[in-house]
Amino acid sequence: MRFVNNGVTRNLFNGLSLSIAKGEFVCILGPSGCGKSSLLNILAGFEKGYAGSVLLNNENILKPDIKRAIVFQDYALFPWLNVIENVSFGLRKKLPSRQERFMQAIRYLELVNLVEHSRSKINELSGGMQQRVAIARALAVQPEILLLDEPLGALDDWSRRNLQSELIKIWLELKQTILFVTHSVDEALLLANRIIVLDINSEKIMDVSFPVEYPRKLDTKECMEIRLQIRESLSQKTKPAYGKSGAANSASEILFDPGI
Amino acid sequence: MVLKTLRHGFFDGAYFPALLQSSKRVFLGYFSAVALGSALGIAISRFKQLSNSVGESLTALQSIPSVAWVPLALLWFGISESAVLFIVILEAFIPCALGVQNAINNIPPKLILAGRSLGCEAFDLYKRVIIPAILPQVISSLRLSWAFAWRALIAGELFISGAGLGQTLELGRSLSDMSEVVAMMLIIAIIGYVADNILFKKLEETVNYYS
Repeated sequence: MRFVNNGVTRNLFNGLSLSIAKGEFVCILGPSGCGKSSLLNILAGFEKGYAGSVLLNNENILKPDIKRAIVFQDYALFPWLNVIENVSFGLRKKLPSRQERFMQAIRYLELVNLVEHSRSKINELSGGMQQRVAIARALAVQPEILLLDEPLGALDDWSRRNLQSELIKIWLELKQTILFVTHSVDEALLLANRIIVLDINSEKIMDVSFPVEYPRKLDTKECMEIRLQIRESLSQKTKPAYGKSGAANSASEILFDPGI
Repeated sequence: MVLKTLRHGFFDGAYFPALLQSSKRVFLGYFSAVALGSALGIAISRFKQLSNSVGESLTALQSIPSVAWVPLALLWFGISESAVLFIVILEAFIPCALGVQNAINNIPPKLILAGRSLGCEAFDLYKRVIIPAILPQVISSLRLSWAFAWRALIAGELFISGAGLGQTLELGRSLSDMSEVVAMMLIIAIIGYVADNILFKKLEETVNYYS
């Protein structure tokens, strides 16, 4: 897959083929610079100039759409709107009446335990609360897939742990398909039911399903084994392979499978 | 002396035509300038080529003081209403255009991406994300724009006939009536102050989302 970033053409995900089924909680794990965020931008529809195919239910992804909601590391909430207005922002087209929009927003605020803050201003909230608002805003449009771009990266340890268990709760409750990008191995082990590891050249070097029950403990045998596998697979290839651009045209393919 | 002149001016109603005429001009000029400036600001933030060429020339234009435009305006429009309007609009639209452009460029990119992924494109994106996001910053440039318009108005009015604060000031000078001149300057200062420090300050406070 080839695409242009800041005027520089990059070849990423050569021959990467990825298929995600409905209801999966997938973590994409990889070192900085491996193109995790670029991948998410493509999936969100922000990138136009790429070659390859990215499909959601057999439809090509070419522009942003509320079928694919995204949550960023730095929340990106609208500071001129209060909490509930932020959460109902994406519902304008689905629900013409303001009251209906608010009713739906309240349901998702309940999910992230922020109902009592529904009229608060954004800048009155802590980072962790802001990220919960952002997650509620993304979930409220009932997307087919929720894209999370290192959503917990900017939070303190305590909020991060809280949000991790909330994400698990949300996933178990809504059966929401989630694609979570992170560079933290432990976070992936705690959350995902499938882990995909990319190396620095954005090649897929591991793809494991992870059936362990929640809540997980990182010091169990299974977790430690998988962590070891990931560490090993990453340490095998740490140097970027330059001058590979000759093989740039191998097609990449990413599919989201409805799976029903 | 000055107070006496002011009292006379207001109680005899001699200042009212001048005040009325001047405010009519400044409002007309200011609002056209804001409309023109905002549209241009959005255009140059949208198209890269425009921002390089037009943006630079706007900055150059801004360095010409309003009085320096008066001869050109008089040659083009004659001694008329349009000459004053021309100067007011020309002076006031530049800070507005530059301010809008700058504010749009300063929106955190993620905010726009968030808006787009939640279903806002094109016109909707402007209405629901870009305009609210730039409002606090734009109010400051509107304030600057107002200050420019007010200065340009008085400068322009010095040279045309008919009612107006600038014209009354000029009349005072030609009659060597010092108290009239100072009285006029006081009125100009007070109106400028009220608009700038009371009206616009209030406006700035109401759109400051972070307070």
